[in-house]
Amino acid sequence: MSIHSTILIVEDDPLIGKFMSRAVEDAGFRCMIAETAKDCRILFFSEMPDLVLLDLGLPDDDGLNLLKEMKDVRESIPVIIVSARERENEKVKALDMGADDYVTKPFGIFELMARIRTALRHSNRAASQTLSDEDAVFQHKGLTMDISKHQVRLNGEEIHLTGKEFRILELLFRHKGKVLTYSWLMQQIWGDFIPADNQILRVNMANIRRKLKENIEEPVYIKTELGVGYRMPEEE
Amino acid sequence: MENNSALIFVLAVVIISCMTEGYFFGITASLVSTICINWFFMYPYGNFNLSLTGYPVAIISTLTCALVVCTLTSRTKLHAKMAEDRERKTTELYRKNAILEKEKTTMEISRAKADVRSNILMSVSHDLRTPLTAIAGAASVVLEQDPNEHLADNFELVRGIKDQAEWMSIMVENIISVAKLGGTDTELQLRPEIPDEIIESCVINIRRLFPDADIELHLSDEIVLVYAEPILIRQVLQNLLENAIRHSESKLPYEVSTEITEDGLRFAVRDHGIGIPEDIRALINRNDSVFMDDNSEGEHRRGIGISACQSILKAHGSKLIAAEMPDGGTEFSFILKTAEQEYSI
Repeated sequence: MSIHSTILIVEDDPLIGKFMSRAVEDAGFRCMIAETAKDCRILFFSEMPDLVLLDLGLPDDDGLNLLKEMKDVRESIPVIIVSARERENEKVKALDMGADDYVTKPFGIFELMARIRTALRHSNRAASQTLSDEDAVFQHKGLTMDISKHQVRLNGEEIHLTGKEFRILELLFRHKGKVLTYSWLMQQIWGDFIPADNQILRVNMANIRRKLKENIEEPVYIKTELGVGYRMPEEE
Repeated sequence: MENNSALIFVLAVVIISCMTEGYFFGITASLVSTICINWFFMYPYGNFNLSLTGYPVAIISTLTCALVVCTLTSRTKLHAKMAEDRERKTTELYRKNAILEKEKTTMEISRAKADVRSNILMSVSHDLRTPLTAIAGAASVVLEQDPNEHLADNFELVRGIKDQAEWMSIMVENIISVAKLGGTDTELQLRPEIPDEIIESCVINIRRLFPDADIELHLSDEIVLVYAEPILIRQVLQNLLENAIRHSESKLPYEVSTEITEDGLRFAVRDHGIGIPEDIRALINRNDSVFMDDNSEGEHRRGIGISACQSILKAHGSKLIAAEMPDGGTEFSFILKTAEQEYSI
């Protein structure tokens, strides 16, 4: 992650835009603000930002259209959605359309900065091809996963996962730090035979978390993004 | 012979009087009959002779007969008509009454709805004004002061602004939920959810607001799914925990638990604090609004949280129960329906 990364803030409220840019600049990033979809298009093409903070409620266009346009041009551009609570569904839609993360208004500045760092790190790692490496060995705190040996160890002790559970954990490892939505996970694992609801995924996940002896008060490996999906947290 | 034929005419007069309205036809008929009888059936036939013995008597009796029958029939008819009128009026009255009753009930219902909403609105505007005043005041003081001179002061003030704003945003969350659920009769889309995930998310949010709060979890070991709108149920648990932390003065940890019962999964939030007044508890258990005119500010604030819980749970086909615990403190609980698991793992 370059300290000179440029962040494009797309936000129509001047005060919110101001405090976000201030926080981003204090953290050492370069920053631009677009208050309309039109400005966003211009700045996106002329300045080539490294990350976009996108508020879905813009005055002149649907934020989802903007997201699609940007992802069509540069698939790897990390986009963090800034959404209000009334727009729950839009947020999930945006994630399914390729947005990398989200923060819900009102959000704290620490939370926002953590999400920005994670998304930048994640986009760099995506470039280094661990996403498709078939011999990958993943590690997260006490948990290791060896894909080729089909082996999972928790604090050195082997734990047994079913085929589906193994696939789910692998996806979480490969997209560490990113929110994986229910529908994306369902698509990845059940493909064309996708069940009508996500009950089966939820039960599988509950089983994995039990096997990983997750503490609900402070999960270490798999965090719940309520109403959206799951995320393996990035180590800070 | 002539006597019998005369009787036939009398019968005709009676029938005509019966069938017609008023006296005109009856009298005409009786006059025509007496003339006819005289003409056809009395000697000399084919002649009109008034001087015959008994004839005036015949005229008078037929006429009287006609008059009496006419009077009787018109009276009967009048009675029948009156009865009919009365009946119609009665049914009309019944119908009107039914409509009125219905209107009254709908009015009462809408008034009850309006009461809850205006209660919440009143209370909310009152409760939002206080932090808003604090925020605006603190901000203008910070702006006007020399920042170098009052550094510590300013820090305090700005932190106050942040606290008040955070509290306002919790408030607004609740208002959004109540408005969403109360405004329309649209049913919630309830989905099968893992209760532990809702509790995890709730505890993380509460920790952010109250880093020092001691919360203990006692969750059912079994994996179950409950029908819920997860964000709203998280809000219920958050409100209950927040109220407990702010108001119960509990010395022991707050407890959140789930337990499988016959009716579904029972969620409970309990404290070991000072408890809540019995009348408020009764209101909650009757699912009534907990707002009262003489509520103190703290009670108002708690009231909004509880009201939001009530409307969210109602939309889930559930209700909030408040119980006083024998070893002190209060337990709030509710039950959510569990989903049948269709898949074997």
